[in-house]
Amino acid sequence: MPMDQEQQTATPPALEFDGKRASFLKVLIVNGILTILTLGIYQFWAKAKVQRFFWSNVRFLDDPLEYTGTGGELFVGFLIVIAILFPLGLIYSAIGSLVPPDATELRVGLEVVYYLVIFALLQIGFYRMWRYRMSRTTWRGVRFGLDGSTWTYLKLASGWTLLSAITLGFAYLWMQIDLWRYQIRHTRIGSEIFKFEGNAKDLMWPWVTVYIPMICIAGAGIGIMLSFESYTDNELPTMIAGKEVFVEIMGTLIGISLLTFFIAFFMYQIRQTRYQISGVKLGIASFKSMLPIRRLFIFAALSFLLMGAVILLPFIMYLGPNFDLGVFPYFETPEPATFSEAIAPIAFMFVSVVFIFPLIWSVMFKFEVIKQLVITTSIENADVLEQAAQSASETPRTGEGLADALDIGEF
Amino acid sequence: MPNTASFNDGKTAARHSVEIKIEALALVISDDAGHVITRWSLGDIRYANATRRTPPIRLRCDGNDARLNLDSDDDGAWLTHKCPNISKRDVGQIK
Repeated sequence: MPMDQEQQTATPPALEFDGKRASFLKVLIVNGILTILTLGIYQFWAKAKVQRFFWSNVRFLDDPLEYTGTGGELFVGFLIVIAILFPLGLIYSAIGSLVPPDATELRVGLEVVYYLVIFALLQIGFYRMWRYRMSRTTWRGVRFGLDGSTWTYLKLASGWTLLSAITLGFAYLWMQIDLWRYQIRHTRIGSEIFKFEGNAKDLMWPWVTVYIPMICIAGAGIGIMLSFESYTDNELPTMIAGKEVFVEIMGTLIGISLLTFFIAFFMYQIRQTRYQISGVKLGIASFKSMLPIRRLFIFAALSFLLMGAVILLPFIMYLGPNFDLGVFPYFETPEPATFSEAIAPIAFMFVSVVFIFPLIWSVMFKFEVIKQLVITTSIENADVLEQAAQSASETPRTGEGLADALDIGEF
Repeated sequence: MPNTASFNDGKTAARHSVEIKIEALALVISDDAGHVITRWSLGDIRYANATRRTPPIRLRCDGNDARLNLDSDDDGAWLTHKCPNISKRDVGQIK
């Protein structure tokens, strides 16, 4: 083995992950129970606990990260934002009720303004969420932080969104990388500012593999729509004579393109994440990510399989070895025999969707993503981070607010 | 005899080897040469990670960014038992 390689093997990795899936599952179950018992109020404390779990299990140069945010801060941030959003919603409803039903253009205009405001709030919420999280992250007592202006970020995001719309989504890749660049160039540990070196064109071919199926879906969809005669509100559309084969081909194309799109987008997201991390620098320290596509794909597939098994569980339990959907009471008789038979499947579906599916997804997939993000990232000249000096910048007083109100950024 | 530990002063991310011992109602943190770096009142000492009680133990002082990491073979019982508020989770742990 060459000397350099030998030294590299002997050096412990700069980033390590100590988290155990079983411990995470325990945290999520307790959080879920308390959130249900408190009618959702506990979710802010639950979120803080999950973040604390992940942060404390990431070790950098042998010392863990610390998350110093609290559920109370997140809750106060949420209340402040609700106090702003609620009157805005009332104003929107009031204006909406004043617009005559036949004033279509005015109504469309109002909708456009409404969605523009929601879009702006999402961008502001995302940036402020990142700011809060950075301000509540410390390593060896030195705080991370995010400077920069939320308004500049909003302007940047708005410009890129407009360009993405004009280019039918093609500019989305450039938008992602440019927003990341802004975010990273304003992120710091202590007073040391990170930078990002990268160009979106490096990701263009992986992006094309996502874009082509997307265009196929849109094109085939338009083709199908044009194969039907115009219809009124009371009538179903009728297919133009001789278009049957065309519609069938377009339908098959949509099916194939959808499948291709999901797989390509999954792979693209991982490649983009790798690229984003690998472009991060801090002085002479540089990051490199080798986030594995196949492993994460397997974990995503396993999560879906497990969710499928959960859905089938009541059928299997009800019928035992004679499992056959055809003899389940619902399929046999129009009315279930008892109240409990009627309510049990609905309750089960509710618990599955609200509690069990997110639990499976978090424990199986999200946990693996975070673990792999940490253990497959290497840092060259990591020692330079030890020179980071505490910054005197002020930190935000309240939590993620908009991000919570608009339900973005779970961890 | 003083115990050894590593110390982050909260001003930089550098790690310093230190010696620690209890004197009266304070934890005295000194460098290798014996010069006192700081004193932490026992009442102000907290676990840095409020949910972790197993080595390596990490401690903080209320209202302070500095961190003290006890050695991995030190369960900290000699010290933590004398800190009345060690498990307290103060709101807003940062300055």
